[in-house]
Amino acid sequence: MSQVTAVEVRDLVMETLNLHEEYEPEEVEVDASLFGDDGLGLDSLDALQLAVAVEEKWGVTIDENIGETVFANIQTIADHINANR
Amino acid sequence: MATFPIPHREPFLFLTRHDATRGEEALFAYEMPRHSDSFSLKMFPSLLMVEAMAQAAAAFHGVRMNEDDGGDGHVETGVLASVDKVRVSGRPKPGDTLTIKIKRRKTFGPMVLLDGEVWVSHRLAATAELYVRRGGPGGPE
Repeated sequence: MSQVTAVEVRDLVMETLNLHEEYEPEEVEVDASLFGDDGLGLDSLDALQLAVAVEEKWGVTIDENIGETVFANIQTIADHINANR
Repeated sequence: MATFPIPHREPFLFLTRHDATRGEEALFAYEMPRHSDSFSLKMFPSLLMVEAMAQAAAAFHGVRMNEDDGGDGHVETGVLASVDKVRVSGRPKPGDTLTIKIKRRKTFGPMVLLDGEVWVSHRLAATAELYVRRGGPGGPE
């Protein structure tokens, strides 16, 4: 099974959260924080929507207890997916 | 008159009774008033079916969270945070009974995703995804 790339995850994040209106894909760095004022500024609703989208696309569940770690940035999401597929 | 763990009251309460809870699913009903001086709408506005699903989702969330926490009598409230993928395929009329089916699909942090359906006379009239925030404004982050 091929590895999920950070670019694929970035595309899913942008599509799920309709970020195309605010950002060009290349503006979203894979190691930038997703939450907080110094990142994309996502909130808890975004986190739930992302968790559902990842589960539907790659069949990987993200437990809410490790959500903060997994959703640190796009690369950490890709790493979690690849470690749990 | 049944009471529900949400702040809504007549005439903006679109739940009449809680019929059943089975695991992550619950059934509610709303018996629409017949045409009268106090209810002069000829059709039930589609948006109010979404509101009925939202009220049922918040009520179900409160009941289930209480059960999850051991049923100590403290009923957690939920506040609607978002609605997505709304589809309307029917228009109930005064006198109809709405059957509102709610299914809790996922909980993640302070947010809960529930699927809602409204059935009228065994026909699907509306569906939506409902996002409820636990505890409402100022609740858990």
